[in-house]
Amino acid sequence: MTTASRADQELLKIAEQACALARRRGARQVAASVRRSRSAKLVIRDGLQEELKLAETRSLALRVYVDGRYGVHQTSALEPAALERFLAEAIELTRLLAPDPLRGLPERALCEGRSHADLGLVDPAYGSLTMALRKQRATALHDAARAAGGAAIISVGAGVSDSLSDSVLVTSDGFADGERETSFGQWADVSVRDPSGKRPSDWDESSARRVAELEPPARTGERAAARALAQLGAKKIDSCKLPLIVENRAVSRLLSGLLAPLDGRQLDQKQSCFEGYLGKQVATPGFSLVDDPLLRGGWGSARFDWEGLTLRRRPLIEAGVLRDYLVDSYYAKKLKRAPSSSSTTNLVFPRGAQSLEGLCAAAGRAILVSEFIGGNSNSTTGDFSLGLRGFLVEGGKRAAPVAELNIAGNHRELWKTIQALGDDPYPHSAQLTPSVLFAAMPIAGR
Amino acid sequence: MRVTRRDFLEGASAATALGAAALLPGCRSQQKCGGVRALPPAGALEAFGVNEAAARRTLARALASGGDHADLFFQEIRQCYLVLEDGAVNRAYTRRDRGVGVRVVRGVETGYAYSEALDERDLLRAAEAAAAVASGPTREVPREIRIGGHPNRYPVAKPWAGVGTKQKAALLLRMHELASRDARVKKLNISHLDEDRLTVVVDSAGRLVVDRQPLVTEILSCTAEQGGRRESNYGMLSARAGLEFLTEARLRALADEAVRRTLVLFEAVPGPVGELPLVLGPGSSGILLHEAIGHGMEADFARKRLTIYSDMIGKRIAPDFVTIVDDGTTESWRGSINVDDEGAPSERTVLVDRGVLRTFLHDRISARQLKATPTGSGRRESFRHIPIPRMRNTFMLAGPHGREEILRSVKRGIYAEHFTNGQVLIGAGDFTFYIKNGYLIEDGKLTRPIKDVNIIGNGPEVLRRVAMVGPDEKLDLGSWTCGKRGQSVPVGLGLPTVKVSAITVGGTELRKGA
Repeated sequence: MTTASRADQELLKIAEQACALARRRGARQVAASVRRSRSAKLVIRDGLQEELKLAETRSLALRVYVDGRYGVHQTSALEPAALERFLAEAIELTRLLAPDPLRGLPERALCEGRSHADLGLVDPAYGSLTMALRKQRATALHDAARAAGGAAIISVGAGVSDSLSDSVLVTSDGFADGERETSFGQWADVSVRDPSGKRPSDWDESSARRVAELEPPARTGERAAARALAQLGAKKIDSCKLPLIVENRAVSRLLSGLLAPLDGRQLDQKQSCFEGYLGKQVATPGFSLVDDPLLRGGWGSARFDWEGLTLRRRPLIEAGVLRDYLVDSYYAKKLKRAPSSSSTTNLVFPRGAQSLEGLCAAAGRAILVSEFIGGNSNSTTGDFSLGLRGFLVEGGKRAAPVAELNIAGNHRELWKTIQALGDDPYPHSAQLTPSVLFAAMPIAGR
Repeated sequence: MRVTRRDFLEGASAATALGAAALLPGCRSQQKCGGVRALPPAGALEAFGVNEAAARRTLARALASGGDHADLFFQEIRQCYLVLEDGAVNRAYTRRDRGVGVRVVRGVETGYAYSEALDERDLLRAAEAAAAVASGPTREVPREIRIGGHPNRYPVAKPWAGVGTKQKAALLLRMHELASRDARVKKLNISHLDEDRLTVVVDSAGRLVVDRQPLVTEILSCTAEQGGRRESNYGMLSARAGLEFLTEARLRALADEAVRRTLVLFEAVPGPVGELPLVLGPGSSGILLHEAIGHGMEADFARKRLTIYSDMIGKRIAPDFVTIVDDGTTESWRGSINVDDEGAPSERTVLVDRGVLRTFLHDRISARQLKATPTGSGRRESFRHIPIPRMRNTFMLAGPHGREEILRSVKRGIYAEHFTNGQVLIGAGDFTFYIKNGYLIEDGKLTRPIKDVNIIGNGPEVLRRVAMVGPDEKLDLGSWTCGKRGQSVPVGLGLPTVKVSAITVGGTELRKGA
């Protein structure tokens, strides 16, 4: 099997040696993943350097298959003697487990034919970023937020972070590949004084694979300040039944309740409310959900998954119909299905026709959710209940801020009540969620 | 390194770290059994292959460009996670992690770097990186290092290092047997996690403090079927202890409770919507304190003036029968610590004394800035993280009301028994917690079960609305993990029966006048 040139040679060597060691100790099969990352973070709060952090870290995780038994063993101590001792203990421990005949590396055919395209995950200029440049950017963020927040401001935290990481996967079946990626982020957190004595805060962020593609720091800072100021005067309202508009950045919290029951382990362990739903309607016909691993520069982009399975674009929901589950090679055997990868990469939604303001106009009177707070979802039954804050929408326009509200429902029904999607996929996450307008639902308040 | 803004509390978080994610390095997973030696403090540094002179040279480099304080945080973590699925203990996850964090503090500014390699040149490189936070004349470091002593709050009779994998697996098989007796139970996932953390803090004041923290967690998750429906629930058990903690009686109670909590869900009716009286059952309802007041009392938020409690020290915030403590000294409890991760002694901190707010929870930086007495609350997830003020075991002391009296006082309301998670917005004070098991209270009696209902309230408001406090103070043995600023640490919770006169209940049953 060819080794992509992007895989870090030093890490490949560590992984290969670990595999060889494990095999010598009696492992029938083994998969080694090694990761190394360099990262920096600088947070400026109210003019002072609250946190300056530099890190360089390496770790190795081994999946070992010994005498029909399975264990995963992870260490950050990679010196040869320490590694040898660690592996010896790990393999001895694995031998003491109950055998599981379904465990093993995935079939080779499933790991072949992967893309060798450049996914655009690396900024070649990473090395030229200095602490002075980071400080300059964080200061600009901070100052812009403070200026935009005016007299109501209590405190502004502004941070920048970046990382360069390499990861490789090597298996005793001959798989050897890796990826390098860089990331850059900036964010601001702004706290303001409310006449009620509350100190509401809000945040905003920007991120990019290349430093030059980050938006100007002042823009992020100003948005964070505007968000915090918009919280002033937030009140709880009476319980009611209203349409719900969920802003793009908050949708992932709802989405996690839809995705969790699609997981192979949940299905196998009878903890999925979507068991038996393949081919059935789970959302409005206008809704679809595509897992797209090869998106250029995407936050979830990858050519192969943690097992080495080749990743391809796959629809999970098409025109509201459930098309696929998220199943790794082990649970695929248990469920007698074809494996489809247990992890999602970039999740892509249909692009709606309206902006967030357009969705508000379409709804007339509604609740606009800017953030969910706590809550949970029961993947066995689909029931969920989530706290929230946001705005009342009146006459099609964003009006007074609201707080301390809660919604509840069931994921088998919720996604069938989508009225419209926004044209605003959230760019700072692997889940490119647009804002979503749902039909009226009970909202708990006073 | 993406930002983590969510401050949350979760039960049974180890269970969510299962499976594929366990393979990804850097994830919050599990791992590693065996090999722990008892270590006298005198040899603690040497266990990391470092001697006192190297530690002093590293501190000197850390303070080479000024700074008020520097510390080195050496840590070795060993974890072993075993999982039973479909009746067999057929997977293990182990982890061994080791390294040093170097911190330089100047006022409220922190420089931090860490290294997994522990050669002197690696230590010096980390020190130099952390020193970049300061820019001034070199500060002197002590010529001598003194070893600090402290009482041990978690004596272990049978350390995990001496417990074989078969013996651990037998615990899981026993729980499986105990939980399988009802034919409606279709699937059981049971996990065991044992952990040993050795830490050594050496600081620029010349102190050396050693701690060794054991931790054990059992989680039993159960799925049952009845009349064509399915429900799942779980139970958990955790302590800073060895094998001796997992007695037959405790395993049986865990299995019985998890099954009972699952089966009762079949009887549940939809939860109500709107403001209602809430009675919190004793034990894990302490989640209320963690969210409604605990986070708001962490002094990093206070010194930045971010918390709604910033200006309330010395003021009445609850009725006089409300006393809330955060205690790091309760023997063997999950959130107990002998010393914090800055080397300061742990203590029992009274946050609210008979209704009056007394003190924040401090780390070194906040205690200095706010000129307060340190409370031993500086904690970190690992050597990769900076210490920040955190809760330990947070609970409310018993009050003057009878449990029956409390229930009788409610005409229509809800009773909360078992929780999964919670979250809070520090500045606004809005917080939530998720009720997995509860009951309707009708005419002073517990009637029909409810489930999967989130509760949302505002911290100071809810404390003012604490109407009654029962006599049955109870510490919960659940596996609670608190996440704050991207760092997870184990904590404990407790509460007697408590009545809150009104709070928003997020069910689905909307009715007029609710």
